[in-house]
Amino acid sequence: MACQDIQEDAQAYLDNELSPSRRAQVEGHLAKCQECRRTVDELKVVSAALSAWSDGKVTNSFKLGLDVRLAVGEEESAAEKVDQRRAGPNLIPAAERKTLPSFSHWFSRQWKPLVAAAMVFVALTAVAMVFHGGAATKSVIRSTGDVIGAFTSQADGGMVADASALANVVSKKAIKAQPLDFAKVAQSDVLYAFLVSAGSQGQDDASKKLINLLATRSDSRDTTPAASVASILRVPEGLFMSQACAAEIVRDPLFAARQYELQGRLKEAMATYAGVTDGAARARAKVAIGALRLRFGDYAGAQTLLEEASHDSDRRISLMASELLNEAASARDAAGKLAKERSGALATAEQWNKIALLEVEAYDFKNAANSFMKAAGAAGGDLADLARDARFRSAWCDIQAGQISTGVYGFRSMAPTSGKPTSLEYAAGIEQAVGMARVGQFQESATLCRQLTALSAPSRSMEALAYFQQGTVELNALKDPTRAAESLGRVASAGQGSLSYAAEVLLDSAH
Amino acid sequence: MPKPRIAGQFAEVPDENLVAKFNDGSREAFVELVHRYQGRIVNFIYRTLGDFERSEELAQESFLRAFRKADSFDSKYRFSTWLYTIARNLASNELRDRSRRPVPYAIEDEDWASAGQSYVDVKSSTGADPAHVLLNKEMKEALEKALEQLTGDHRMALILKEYDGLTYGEIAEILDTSAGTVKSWVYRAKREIYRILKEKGVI
Repeated sequence: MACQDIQEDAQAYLDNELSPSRRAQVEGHLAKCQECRRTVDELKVVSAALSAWSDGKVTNSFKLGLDVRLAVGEEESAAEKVDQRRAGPNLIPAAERKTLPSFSHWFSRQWKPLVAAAMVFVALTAVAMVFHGGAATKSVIRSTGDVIGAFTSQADGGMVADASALANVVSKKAIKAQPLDFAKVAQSDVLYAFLVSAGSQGQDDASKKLINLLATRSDSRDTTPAASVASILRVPEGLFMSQACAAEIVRDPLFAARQYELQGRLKEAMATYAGVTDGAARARAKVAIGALRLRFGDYAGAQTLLEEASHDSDRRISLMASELLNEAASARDAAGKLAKERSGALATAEQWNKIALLEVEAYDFKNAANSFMKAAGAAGGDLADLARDARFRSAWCDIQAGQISTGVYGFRSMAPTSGKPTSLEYAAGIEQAVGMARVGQFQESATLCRQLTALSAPSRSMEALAYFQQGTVELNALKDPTRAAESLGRVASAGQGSLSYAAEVLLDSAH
Repeated sequence: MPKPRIAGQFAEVPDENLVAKFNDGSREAFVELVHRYQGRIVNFIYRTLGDFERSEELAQESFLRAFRKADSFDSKYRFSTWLYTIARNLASNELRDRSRRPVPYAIEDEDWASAGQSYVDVKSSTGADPAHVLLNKEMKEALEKALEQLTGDHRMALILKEYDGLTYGEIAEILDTSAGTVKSWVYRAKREIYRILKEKGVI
């Protein structure tokens, strides 16, 4: 028998995939052919090498994400069956759908995280409408309505807070990015402000129109907002998942506390969370207090609460708590090691920067703000970029730690001084405007945006952000629809993805 | 949302019966299927793509598709083969996309067994005793390189055989080819890996 034939079967021999007669033939040949034995041995060597690669462990994020995606799938299937019986397969006229850009194309643009967070918001707002008697709306928002299933069938107002928490998570990721992604930070924070503002103003009309707009832009099953939101839910960051899952809450008793949190009134938020007595909400409140304690740098206090919550019988609560704790603990350990390494010696700017980034990771924004400032202080002339980024990050961390005025002041020190600002300067200006609006300085916020848009913006997208921030403040807080229409009109004409759509919708409500 | 799984409730129930139960309205039955296959599907995709994060996303997508299409599952086939086929299609699409925007193939360090744990007692006439397979950085890098050079089909056939322990017939169904072709792919994949490891001097 030819060696070639045997060698082709050598692997099948090892895999025990040969018939008994063929196996006997191969064994017979191997007994007398060293060359073929060598081949078999080589194949075994490869198996040994491959076996060193052990299985990866499935993460909690995977499990949570799958739960949510299956819930979406379940709701979609149910909704689809009902819709097919009631109204045929498609509620959007084909001609209209063909004239609109595909949702996936639209979604794949640079606004993906914002769009997703906005859609979460939209979906959650829609819940309230659908379940508070909006039968006519339900048929129109079929595809967007499916999104709702991902989170809840009985939701109420607290969802806006959770949606904004998503925007905040995107912002945190951008702040940690290397190099610092100014534009993304500004985008997320503007959206965050929009969500809080629209949520607190009960912008039902605007939300409804935005939902309808989204629905008409969804032209196939695979590109529904539901699918897109689900695709965002796959982002494998534990907290992101947890926040999304937290949006599932029924008649959220945590809403008041969340509102405080959004306004940077962290101590009041903590006190309000502590007053929650309702069973399931109590456990969520415990997690929320734990998260706030992390922000205050009280790791031990956070640890106690989160450990308790991690044993909660509700799997989501327990996962949320353990994710938070693990993330904070590992970042804290890493920061501690770093600090030990430099013991005795004065830390360099790079070392402070590293420590600060780990503190951000650990939600320890208060200490991170200080460490970034130390990094900025230690940076010499050749590290000007590091110093500049560190100051930006420090101001952002101040705001996260509830020190909004300090943060706003920090951003102010970086704001544009000339007619041609850099991206960082412009982003700092936007951040300053957002921060002002958060503490109720609406007039100042709008004025600052007007000053920004009078300058030569570093990019059209940044300029659109400034107009958007200006328009939403004018519309929601200053009740000045004329000015708002002008500002939002500029965003809409800038063609900047989701922000344009949101502006178009707000524009309609301004009229 | 799924209720907490009741341990052992479906422990003895074959996969195909679980699909039937799920189609009859038992969500728990599907949760059991997820529990049985999540690790295998994630790792199959991970080893195919060399990207754990992405593999989790695609594994989720695989389960979601199975969830949606369960009513079209034909019980004369095995559920595992059907599920692997879904995962294989997603992984193949990803590989095709990546051919346009290459992403480095990478085995994550924590998934790399510590030295000595994978000893296989083989007395080799080549002198390449598996005990001397060095579980070190060079080996890991060489293996990454070798797997990267395999075609998608060869890589998947090898993974399904080597790690998932499927038969050539099952792999053939998943990869939509014949058992003879799978035999040839696995053999060629291993020869190629051997050649590269040798060339890199790690065996």
